[in-house]
Amino acid sequence: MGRFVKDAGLSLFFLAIFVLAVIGQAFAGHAQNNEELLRHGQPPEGLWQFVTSSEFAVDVAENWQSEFFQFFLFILMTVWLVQHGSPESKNPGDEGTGSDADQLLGPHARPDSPAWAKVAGVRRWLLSNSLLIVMGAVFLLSWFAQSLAGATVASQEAVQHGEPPMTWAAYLATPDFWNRTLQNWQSEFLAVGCMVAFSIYLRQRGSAESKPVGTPNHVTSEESQ
Amino acid sequence: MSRHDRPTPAMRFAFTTWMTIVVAGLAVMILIPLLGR
Repeated sequence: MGRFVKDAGLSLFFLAIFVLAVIGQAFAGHAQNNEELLRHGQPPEGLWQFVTSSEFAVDVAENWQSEFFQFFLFILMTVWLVQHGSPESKNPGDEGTGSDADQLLGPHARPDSPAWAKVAGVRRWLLSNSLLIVMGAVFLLSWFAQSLAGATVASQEAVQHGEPPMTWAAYLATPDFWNRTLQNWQSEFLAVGCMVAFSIYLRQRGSAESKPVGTPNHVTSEESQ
Repeated sequence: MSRHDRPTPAMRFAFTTWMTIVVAGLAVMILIPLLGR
């Protein structure tokens, strides 16, 4: 058990704070939603009613999609683009998908390489792109969830104001959809850009996200040099 | 998985836990508006 906790510490830590943050968001969102309902002379909702509502779903989904979009782009663009001096980047000159030898594929695979790295064809292609495919799929599905839940909230509000309900397609053209989307994207792109650039000159001793403290600023990735 | 691969409980736990959270979360967030909630 001690070994397991140590070996999965990073996952367990983020799992714990993820659960706490979602619970916190549920309570805070519920309280805010009830304030709004009271202001409109409507009865307050229960917590369960709120967390199973589109109001809660759209708030969660808009943040999920932007996080997965950030990682999707980061994984994709670091194949083809580099930043000299950043430990988040490959070395200038190493752009591209690499040779089979670099990637330990086919005859270059190790005995303990994944089975699909040893075979050719679709399975090797799938394994070779599986991280990007999964992160991209989660991005698209959570963005879709944001659009569905956002459209439902907008439609419910329209009906309350005596207007006709809004369709999903019409919601995609609303400022609400794009405001929710872009306000999250801009912060993700800012954070990625800062991480790439700041890590050229700044260090955190012991962190996997940093170069070793004494590594020269001009060194991008020590391993492949 | 290759018979030479050596997944540990910590590896399997991390992958299955996070994948389950994401898939379940997506399913719930898509179902809620589809059910008109």
